[in-house]
Amino acid sequence: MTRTRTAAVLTASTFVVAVIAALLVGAAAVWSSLPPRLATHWAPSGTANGSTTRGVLLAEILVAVGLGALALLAAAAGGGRVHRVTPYVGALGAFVMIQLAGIGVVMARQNRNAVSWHAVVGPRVVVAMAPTLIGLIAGGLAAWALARVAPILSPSPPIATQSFTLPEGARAAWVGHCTNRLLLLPAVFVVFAGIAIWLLGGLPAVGLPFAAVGLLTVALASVTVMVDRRGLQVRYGALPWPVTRVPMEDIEAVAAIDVRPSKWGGWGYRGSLRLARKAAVVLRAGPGIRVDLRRGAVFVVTVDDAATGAAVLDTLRHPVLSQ
Amino acid sequence: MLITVTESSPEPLYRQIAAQVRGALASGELAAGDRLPPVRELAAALSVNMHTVRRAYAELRDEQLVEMRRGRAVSVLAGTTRRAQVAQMARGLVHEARRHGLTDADIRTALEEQL
Repeated sequence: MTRTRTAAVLTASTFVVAVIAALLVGAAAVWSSLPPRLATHWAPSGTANGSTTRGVLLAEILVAVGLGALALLAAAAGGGRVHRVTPYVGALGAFVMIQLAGIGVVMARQNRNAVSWHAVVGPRVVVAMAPTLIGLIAGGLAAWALARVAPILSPSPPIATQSFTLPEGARAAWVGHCTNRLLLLPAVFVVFAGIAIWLLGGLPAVGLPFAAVGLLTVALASVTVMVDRRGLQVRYGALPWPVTRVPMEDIEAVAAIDVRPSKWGGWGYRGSLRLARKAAVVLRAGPGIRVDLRRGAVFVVTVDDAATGAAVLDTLRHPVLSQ
Repeated sequence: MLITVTESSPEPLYRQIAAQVRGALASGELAAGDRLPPVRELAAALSVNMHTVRRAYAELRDEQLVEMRRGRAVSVLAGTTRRAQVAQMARGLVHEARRHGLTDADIRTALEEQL
Protein backbone atom coordinates (compact mmCIF):
# COMPACT_ATOMS: atom_id res chain seq x y z
CA MET A 1 0.00 0.00 0.00
CA THR A 2 1.22 3.49 -0.69
CA ARG A 3 1.70 5.92 2.13
CA THR A 4 -1.35 7.90 1.16
CA ARG A 5 -3.52 4.82 1.10
CA THR A 6 -2.21 3.73 4.53
CA ALA A 7 -3.08 7.18 5.81
CA ALA A 8 -6.54 6.86 4.24
CA VAL A 9 -7.21 3.53 5.94
CA LEU A 10 -5.96 4.84 9.28
CA THR A 11 -8.10 7.96 9.01
CA ALA A 12 -11.17 5.97 8.05
CA SER A 13 -10.62 3.47 10.86
CA THR A 14 -10.19 6.24 13.41
CA PHE A 15 -13.37 7.90 12.15
CA VAL A 16 -15.31 4.63 12.35
CA VAL A 17 -14.09 3.81 15.85
CA ALA A 18 -14.81 7.34 17.03
CA VAL A 19 -18.37 7.38 15.72
CA ILE A 20 -19.26 3.94 17.07
CA ALA A 21 -17.63 4.66 20.43
CA ALA A 22 -19.45 7.98 20.69
CA LEU A 23 -22.73 6.24 19.87
CA LEU A 24 -22.26 3.55 22.50
CA VAL A 25 -21.01 5.93 25.18
CA GLY A 26 -23.80 8.37 24.44
CA ALA A 27 -26.42 5.63 24.51
CA ALA A 28 -25.14 4.39 27.84
CA ALA A 29 -25.18 7.89 29.26
CA VAL A 30 -28.81 8.63 28.39
CA TRP A 31 -30.20 5.11 28.72
CA SER A 32 -31.76 5.53 32.11
CA SER A 33 -33.32 8.89 31.26
CA LEU A 34 -35.17 7.45 28.30
CA PRO A 35 -38.56 5.73 28.56
CA PRO A 36 -38.55 2.00 27.61
CA ARG A 37 -40.50 2.92 24.48
CA LEU A 38 -39.33 5.95 22.50
CA ALA A 39 -41.47 8.10 20.24
CA THR A 40 -39.90 7.79 16.79
CA HIS A 41 -42.52 9.17 14.44
CA TRP A 42 -44.73 12.21 14.62
CA ALA A 43 -47.81 13.39 12.75
CA PRO A 44 -47.59 16.80 11.04
CA SER A 45 -49.50 18.22 13.98
CA GLY A 46 -46.66 17.25 16.30
CA THR A 47 -48.29 14.40 18.18
CA ALA A 48 -46.35 11.17 18.40
CA ASN A 49 -47.86 8.34 16.37
CA GLY A 50 -45.03 5.79 16.15
CA SER A 51 -42.67 4.23 18.68
CA THR A 52 -39.87 1.74 19.11
CA THR A 53 -38.17 0.21 22.10
CA ARG A 54 -34.80 1.63 23.17
CA GLY A 55 -33.04 -1.60 22.38
CA VAL A 56 -34.47 -2.06 18.90
CA LEU A 57 -33.74 1.56 17.94
CA LEU A 58 -30.14 1.29 19.12
CA ALA A 59 -29.71 -2.01 17.32
CA GLU A 60 -31.12 -0.59 14.07
CA ILE A 61 -28.83 2.41 14.27
CA LEU A 62 -25.78 0.25 15.04
CA VAL A 63 -26.50 -2.06 12.10
CA ALA A 64 -26.83 0.87 9.70
CA VAL A 65 -23.73 2.56 11.11
CA GLY A 66 -21.87 -0.74 10.85
CA LEU A 67 -22.77 -1.16 7.19
CA GLY A 68 -21.77 2.43 6.49
CA ALA A 69 -18.48 1.80 8.27
CA LEU A 70 -17.81 -1.26 6.12
CA ALA A 71 -18.44 0.77 2.96
CA LEU A 72 -16.16 3.56 4.11
CA LEU A 73 -13.34 1.21 5.13
CA ALA A 74 -13.63 -0.71 1.87
CA ALA A 75 -13.39 2.51 -0.10
CA ALA A 76 -10.39 3.68 1.90
CA ALA A 77 -8.60 0.35 1.43
CA GLY A 78 -9.35 0.65 -2.25
CA GLY A 79 -7.47 -2.18 -3.77
CA GLY A 80 -4.78 -0.02 -5.36
CA ARG A 81 -6.65 0.86 -8.53
CA VAL A 82 -9.00 3.64 -9.43
CA HIS A 83 -12.45 2.13 -9.51
CA ARG A 84 -15.29 4.28 -10.59
CA VAL A 85 -17.49 3.90 -7.54
CA THR A 86 -14.82 4.05 -4.84
CA PRO A 87 -15.25 7.67 -3.75
CA TYR A 88 -19.04 7.37 -3.95
CA VAL A 89 -19.17 4.17 -1.91
CA GLY A 90 -17.02 5.79 0.73
CA ALA A 91 -19.10 8.95 0.65
CA LEU A 92 -22.31 6.96 1.03
CA GLY A 93 -20.80 5.07 3.97
CA ALA A 94 -19.77 8.26 5.72
CA PHE A 95 -23.16 9.83 5.03
CA VAL A 96 -25.06 6.85 6.46
CA MET A 97 -22.88 6.73 9.56
CA ILE A 98 -23.30 10.40 10.39
CA GLN A 99 -26.95 10.60 9.46
CA LEU A 100 -27.96 7.56 11.54
CA ALA A 101 -25.89 8.64 14.49
CA GLY A 102 -27.50 12.06 14.23
CA ILE A 103 -30.97 10.53 14.12
CA GLY A 104 -30.11 8.66 17.30
CA VAL A 105 -29.09 11.91 18.93
CA VAL A 106 -32.32 13.63 17.84
CA MET A 107 -34.48 10.74 19.10
CA ALA A 108 -32.67 10.74 22.45
CA ARG A 109 -33.01 14.51 22.71
CA GLN A 110 -36.77 14.49 22.11
CA ASN A 111 -37.48 11.52 24.41
CA ARG A 112 -35.26 12.57 27.29
CA ASN A 113 -36.89 12.42 30.70
CA ALA A 114 -40.26 11.59 29.20
CA VAL A 115 -42.60 9.41 31.19
CA SER A 116 -44.40 7.94 28.20
CA TRP A 117 -43.73 8.17 24.48
CA HIS A 118 -47.23 9.51 23.75
CA ALA A 119 -46.38 12.83 25.36
CA VAL A 120 -43.13 13.39 23.47
CA VAL A 121 -43.15 16.42 21.18
CA GLY A 122 -41.72 16.15 17.68
CA PRO A 123 -38.44 17.85 16.75
CA ARG A 124 -38.42 21.18 14.94
CA VAL A 125 -37.80 20.98 11.18
CA VAL A 126 -34.27 22.33 11.52
CA VAL A 127 -33.43 19.72 14.14
CA ALA A 128 -35.03 16.95 12.08
CA MET A 129 -33.05 17.93 8.96
CA ALA A 130 -29.75 18.39 10.78
CA PRO A 131 -28.61 14.72 10.68
CA THR A 132 -29.15 14.59 6.91
CA LEU A 133 -27.41 17.89 6.25
CA ILE A 134 -24.43 17.09 8.43
CA GLY A 135 -24.34 13.63 6.86
CA LEU A 136 -24.18 15.20 3.41
CA ILE A 137 -21.24 17.34 4.50
CA ALA A 138 -19.50 14.27 5.88
CA GLY A 139 -20.20 12.40 2.64
CA GLY A 140 -18.82 15.25 0.58
CA LEU A 141 -15.63 15.40 2.61
CA ALA A 142 -15.20 11.65 2.32
CA ALA A 143 -15.63 11.74 -1.46
CA TRP A 144 -13.09 14.55 -1.74
CA ALA A 145 -10.56 12.79 0.47
CA LEU A 146 -10.97 9.45 -1.32
CA ALA A 147 -10.58 11.06 -4.72
CA ARG A 148 -7.22 12.48 -3.63
CA VAL A 149 -5.98 9.09 -2.50
CA ALA A 150 -6.31 7.45 -5.92
CA PRO A 151 -2.89 6.79 -7.48
CA ILE A 152 -1.70 8.74 -10.51
CA LEU A 153 -3.03 7.05 -13.60
CA SER A 154 -0.70 5.00 -15.75
CA PRO A 155 -0.24 5.94 -19.41
CA SER A 156 -3.16 5.02 -21.66
CA PRO A 157 -2.78 2.92 -24.80
CA PRO A 158 -2.46 5.44 -27.64
CA ILE A 159 -4.48 5.15 -30.82
CA ALA A 160 -2.92 5.57 -34.25
CA THR A 161 -1.05 8.86 -34.24
CA GLN A 162 -1.30 11.52 -36.85
CA SER A 163 1.08 14.31 -37.60
CA PHE A 164 0.13 17.86 -38.33
CA THR A 165 2.45 20.52 -39.68
CA LEU A 166 1.69 24.17 -39.41
CA PRO A 167 2.82 26.31 -42.34
CA GLU A 168 5.03 29.20 -41.36
CA GLY A 169 3.07 32.22 -40.21
CA ALA A 170 -0.20 30.29 -40.06
CA ARG A 171 -2.56 29.96 -37.15
CA ALA A 172 -4.81 26.99 -36.62
CA ALA A 173 -7.81 25.93 -34.57
CA TRP A 174 -9.55 22.57 -34.44
CA VAL A 175 -13.11 21.91 -33.31
CA GLY A 176 -14.35 18.45 -32.42
CA HIS A 177 -17.63 17.08 -31.15
CA CYS A 178 -18.86 14.11 -29.19
CA THR A 179 -22.49 13.24 -28.62
CA ASN A 180 -24.19 10.43 -26.81
CA ARG A 181 -27.94 10.61 -27.20
CA LEU A 182 -28.32 7.66 -24.85
CA LEU A 183 -27.18 9.86 -21.97
CA LEU A 184 -30.24 11.97 -22.58
CA LEU A 185 -32.54 9.13 -21.51
CA PRO A 186 -31.70 9.05 -17.78
CA ALA A 187 -31.63 12.84 -17.73
CA VAL A 188 -35.09 13.12 -19.29
CA PHE A 189 -36.38 10.48 -16.90
CA VAL A 190 -35.07 12.42 -13.92
CA VAL A 191 -36.68 15.63 -15.18
CA PHE A 192 -40.06 13.97 -15.61
CA ALA A 193 -39.78 12.23 -12.27
CA GLY A 194 -38.98 15.54 -10.65
CA ILE A 195 -41.97 17.26 -12.24
CA ALA A 196 -44.21 14.34 -11.25
CA ILE A 197 -43.01 14.44 -7.66
CA TRP A 198 -43.55 18.18 -7.61
CA LEU A 199 -47.01 18.37 -9.14
CA LEU A 200 -48.56 15.00 -8.32
CA GLY A 201 -46.76 14.24 -5.08
CA GLY A 202 -47.08 17.78 -3.78
CA LEU A 203 -43.40 17.88 -2.80
CA PRO A 204 -41.82 20.84 -4.56
CA ALA A 205 -38.82 20.65 -2.23
CA VAL A 206 -37.94 17.25 -3.68
CA GLY A 207 -39.37 17.59 -7.17
CA LEU A 208 -37.75 20.88 -8.16
CA PRO A 209 -34.15 19.90 -7.35
CA PHE A 210 -34.71 16.59 -9.17
CA ALA A 211 -35.92 18.37 -12.29
CA ALA A 212 -33.09 20.91 -12.05
CA VAL A 213 -30.43 18.20 -11.77
CA GLY A 214 -32.02 16.37 -14.68
CA LEU A 215 -31.88 19.49 -16.84
CA LEU A 216 -28.21 20.00 -15.99
CA THR A 217 -27.44 16.41 -16.94
CA VAL A 218 -28.91 17.05 -20.37
CA ALA A 219 -25.95 19.34 -20.91
CA LEU A 220 -23.62 16.38 -20.59
CA ALA A 221 -25.13 14.59 -23.59
CA SER A 222 -22.77 16.41 -25.96
CA VAL A 223 -19.47 18.24 -25.76
CA THR A 224 -17.57 20.54 -28.11
CA VAL A 225 -13.79 20.50 -27.88
CA MET A 226 -11.67 23.33 -29.28
CA VAL A 227 -7.93 23.14 -29.70
CA ASP A 228 -5.87 26.24 -30.47
CA ARG A 229 -2.82 28.25 -29.42
CA ARG A 230 -4.48 28.94 -26.06
CA GLY A 231 -4.76 25.24 -25.25
CA LEU A 232 -7.81 23.02 -24.94
CA GLN A 233 -11.36 24.14 -24.18
CA VAL A 234 -14.41 21.98 -23.55
CA ARG A 235 -17.96 23.27 -23.84
CA TYR A 236 -20.89 21.28 -22.47
CA GLY A 237 -24.02 21.02 -24.59
CA ALA A 238 -25.53 24.40 -25.28
CA LEU A 239 -24.38 25.82 -21.96
CA PRO A 240 -22.25 28.94 -22.31
CA TRP A 241 -20.85 28.31 -18.86
CA PRO A 242 -18.95 26.61 -17.29
CA VAL A 243 -16.21 26.07 -19.87
CA THR A 244 -13.28 23.82 -19.03
CA ARG A 245 -10.11 25.59 -20.13
CA VAL A 246 -6.75 23.83 -20.07
CA PRO A 247 -4.05 26.47 -20.73
CA MET A 248 -1.27 25.54 -23.16
CA GLU A 249 1.39 26.45 -20.58
CA ASP A 250 0.09 23.73 -18.29
CA ILE A 251 0.19 20.98 -20.91
CA GLU A 252 3.21 18.67 -20.80
CA ALA A 253 2.02 15.86 -23.05
CA VAL A 254 -0.78 15.23 -25.53
CA ALA A 255 -2.06 11.93 -26.80
CA ALA A 256 -5.03 10.49 -28.63
CA ILE A 257 -6.18 7.50 -26.61
CA ASP A 258 -8.86 4.86 -26.52
CA VAL A 259 -11.04 5.81 -23.55
CA ARG A 260 -12.41 2.94 -21.49
CA PRO A 261 -15.02 4.32 -19.08
CA SER A 262 -14.10 1.78 -16.40
CA LYS A 263 -10.59 3.20 -16.22
CA TRP A 264 -11.78 6.76 -15.88
CA GLY A 265 -14.61 6.36 -13.39
CA GLY A 266 -17.61 5.78 -15.61
CA TRP A 267 -19.65 8.08 -17.80
CA GLY A 268 -20.13 11.81 -17.40
CA TYR A 269 -17.83 14.32 -15.74
CA ARG A 270 -15.54 12.34 -13.50
CA GLY A 271 -13.14 13.71 -10.93
CA SER A 272 -12.03 17.27 -10.51
CA LEU A 273 -8.91 19.04 -11.73
CA ARG A 274 -8.94 21.34 -8.74
CA LEU A 275 -9.67 18.82 -6.03
CA ALA A 276 -8.25 15.54 -7.29
CA ARG A 277 -5.94 16.81 -10.09
CA LYS A 278 -7.61 14.30 -12.34
CA ALA A 279 -10.70 14.73 -14.46
CA ALA A 280 -12.31 12.97 -17.39
CA VAL A 281 -15.26 13.89 -19.56
CA VAL A 282 -16.49 10.54 -20.80
CA LEU A 283 -19.51 10.46 -23.09
CA ARG A 284 -18.77 7.09 -24.68
CA ALA A 285 -16.03 4.50 -24.98
CA GLY A 286 -13.66 5.23 -27.85
CA PRO A 287 -11.26 7.91 -29.11
CA GLY A 288 -10.44 10.79 -26.86
CA ILE A 289 -7.73 13.36 -26.16
CA ARG A 290 -5.60 12.95 -23.07
CA VAL A 291 -3.47 15.83 -21.79
CA ASP A 292 -0.93 15.36 -19.02
CA LEU A 293 -0.48 18.57 -17.08
CA ARG A 294 2.10 19.96 -14.68
CA ARG A 295 2.33 18.41 -11.22
CA GLY A 296 0.87 15.13 -12.35
CA ALA A 297 -2.61 16.27 -13.27
CA VAL A 298 -4.46 14.53 -16.09
CA PHE A 299 -7.47 15.55 -18.18
CA VAL A 300 -9.27 13.37 -20.68
CA VAL A 301 -12.19 14.13 -22.98
CA THR A 302 -13.88 11.77 -25.41
CA VAL A 303 -14.17 13.38 -28.84
CA ASP A 304 -14.58 12.18 -32.42
CA ASP A 305 -11.47 12.34 -34.62
CA ALA A 306 -9.32 12.67 -31.52
CA ALA A 307 -6.22 11.77 -33.53
CA THR A 308 -6.44 15.00 -35.53
CA GLY A 309 -7.27 17.09 -32.49
CA ALA A 310 -4.34 15.66 -30.52
CA ALA A 311 -1.98 16.16 -33.46
CA VAL A 312 -3.03 19.81 -33.81
CA LEU A 313 -2.69 20.43 -30.08
CA ASP A 314 0.72 18.79 -29.93
CA THR A 315 1.99 20.79 -32.91
CA LEU A 316 0.68 24.06 -31.50
CA ARG A 317 2.39 23.22 -28.23
CA HIS A 318 5.85 23.25 -29.81
CA PRO A 319 5.52 24.52 -33.36
CA VAL A 320 8.00 23.05 -35.81
CA LEU A 321 8.26 25.23 -38.86
CA SER A 322 7.53 23.31 -42.04
CA GLN A 323 9.84 23.82 -45.03
CA MET B 1 -13.21 20.85 -38.26
CA LEU B 2 -9.75 22.29 -38.83
CA ILE B 3 -9.31 25.95 -39.66
CA THR B 4 -5.93 27.36 -40.68
CA VAL B 5 -5.43 31.00 -41.60
CA THR B 6 -2.37 32.71 -43.03
CA GLU B 7 -1.91 36.47 -42.99
CA SER B 8 0.47 36.37 -45.96
CA SER B 9 -2.08 34.72 -48.25
CA PRO B 10 -3.66 36.91 -50.98
CA GLU B 11 -7.07 35.69 -49.82
CA PRO B 12 -8.57 37.87 -47.07
CA LEU B 13 -8.73 36.21 -43.65
CA TYR B 14 -12.53 36.14 -43.55
CA ARG B 15 -12.61 34.38 -46.92
CA GLN B 16 -10.13 31.79 -45.71
CA ILE B 17 -12.29 31.09 -42.66
CA ALA B 18 -15.53 30.99 -44.68
CA ALA B 19 -13.98 28.63 -47.23
CA GLN B 20 -12.86 26.15 -44.60
CA VAL B 21 -16.16 26.20 -42.74
CA ARG B 22 -17.91 25.76 -46.09
CA GLY B 23 -15.68 22.77 -46.71
CA ALA B 24 -16.71 21.25 -43.40
CA LEU B 25 -20.36 21.89 -44.27
CA ALA B 26 -19.96 20.31 -47.71
CA SER B 27 -18.25 17.21 -46.34
CA GLY B 28 -20.97 16.78 -43.75
CA GLU B 29 -18.48 17.17 -40.91
CA LEU B 30 -20.79 19.90 -39.70
CA ALA B 31 -24.35 18.77 -40.11
CA ALA B 32 -27.77 20.39 -39.84
CA GLY B 33 -28.40 21.52 -36.28
CA ASP B 34 -24.74 21.73 -35.31
CA ARG B 35 -23.47 25.01 -33.97
CA LEU B 36 -20.45 26.90 -35.25
CA PRO B 37 -17.90 28.01 -32.65
CA PRO B 38 -18.97 31.28 -31.02
CA VAL B 39 -17.54 34.34 -32.80
CA ARG B 40 -15.55 35.40 -29.76
CA GLU B 41 -14.05 31.95 -29.24
CA LEU B 42 -12.97 31.38 -32.84
CA ALA B 43 -11.52 34.89 -33.02
CA ALA B 44 -9.48 34.31 -29.87
CA ALA B 45 -8.43 30.87 -31.06
CA LEU B 46 -7.10 32.17 -34.38
CA SER B 47 -5.90 35.53 -33.02
CA VAL B 48 -8.06 37.46 -35.46
CA ASN B 49 -10.51 40.29 -35.06
CA MET B 50 -14.08 39.36 -34.09
CA HIS B 51 -15.29 41.30 -37.12
CA THR B 52 -13.31 38.94 -39.33
CA VAL B 53 -15.10 35.90 -37.95
CA ARG B 54 -18.46 37.65 -38.02
CA ARG B 55 -17.92 38.57 -41.68
CA ALA B 56 -17.03 34.97 -42.50
CA TYR B 57 -20.17 33.73 -40.78
CA ALA B 58 -22.25 36.43 -42.50
CA GLU B 59 -21.03 35.25 -45.88
CA LEU B 60 -22.19 31.74 -45.05
CA ARG B 61 -25.51 33.11 -43.85
CA ASP B 62 -25.94 34.98 -47.12
CA GLU B 63 -25.38 31.66 -48.89
CA GLN B 64 -28.16 30.27 -46.68
CA LEU B 65 -25.87 27.70 -45.16
CA VAL B 66 -26.16 28.86 -41.56
CA GLU B 67 -28.61 30.80 -39.45
CA MET B 68 -27.57 33.67 -37.21
CA ARG B 69 -29.97 34.67 -34.47
CA ARG B 70 -29.43 37.36 -31.87
CA GLY B 71 -28.12 35.97 -28.63
CA ARG B 72 -27.84 32.43 -29.97
CA ALA B 73 -24.93 30.58 -31.52
CA VAL B 74 -24.73 30.31 -35.28
CA SER B 75 -26.37 27.06 -36.32
CA VAL B 76 -26.27 25.01 -39.46
CA LEU B 77 -29.46 24.96 -41.51
CA ALA B 78 -31.17 21.86 -42.78
CA GLY B 79 -30.14 20.72 -46.25
CA THR B 80 -26.90 22.61 -45.90
CA THR B 81 -24.62 19.75 -46.89
CA ARG B 82 -25.98 19.69 -50.39
CA ARG B 83 -26.16 23.47 -50.68
CA ALA B 84 -22.60 23.79 -49.43
CA GLN B 85 -21.40 21.29 -51.99
CA VAL B 86 -23.12 23.19 -54.76
CA ALA B 87 -21.79 26.50 -53.42
CA GLN B 88 -18.29 25.08 -53.41
CA MET B 89 -18.64 23.87 -56.97
CA ALA B 90 -20.07 27.21 -58.06
CA ARG B 91 -17.16 29.04 -56.46
CA GLY B 92 -14.70 26.81 -58.22
CA LEU B 93 -16.45 27.30 -61.54
CA VAL B 94 -16.54 31.09 -61.24
CA HIS B 95 -12.91 31.21 -60.14
CA GLU B 96 -11.74 29.11 -63.07
CA ALA B 97 -13.92 31.00 -65.57
CA ARG B 98 -12.56 34.35 -64.44
CA ARG B 99 -9.04 33.02 -64.62
CA HIS B 100 -9.71 32.23 -68.25
CA GLY B 101 -10.90 35.80 -68.77
CA LEU B 102 -14.63 35.15 -69.03
CA THR B 103 -16.99 37.94 -68.01
CA ASP B 104 -19.90 37.50 -65.63
CA ALA B 105 -22.27 37.62 -68.60
CA ASP B 106 -20.35 34.78 -70.26
CA ILE B 107 -20.60 32.69 -67.12
CA ARG B 108 -24.36 33.25 -66.79
CA THR B 109 -24.90 32.32 -70.42
CA ALA B 110 -22.89 29.14 -70.04
CA LEU B 111 -24.91 28.11 -66.99
CA GLU B 112 -28.25 28.95 -68.59
CA GLU B 113 -27.40 26.72 -71.53
CA GLN B 114 -26.94 23.81 -69.19
CA LEU B 115 -30.24 24.23 -67.34
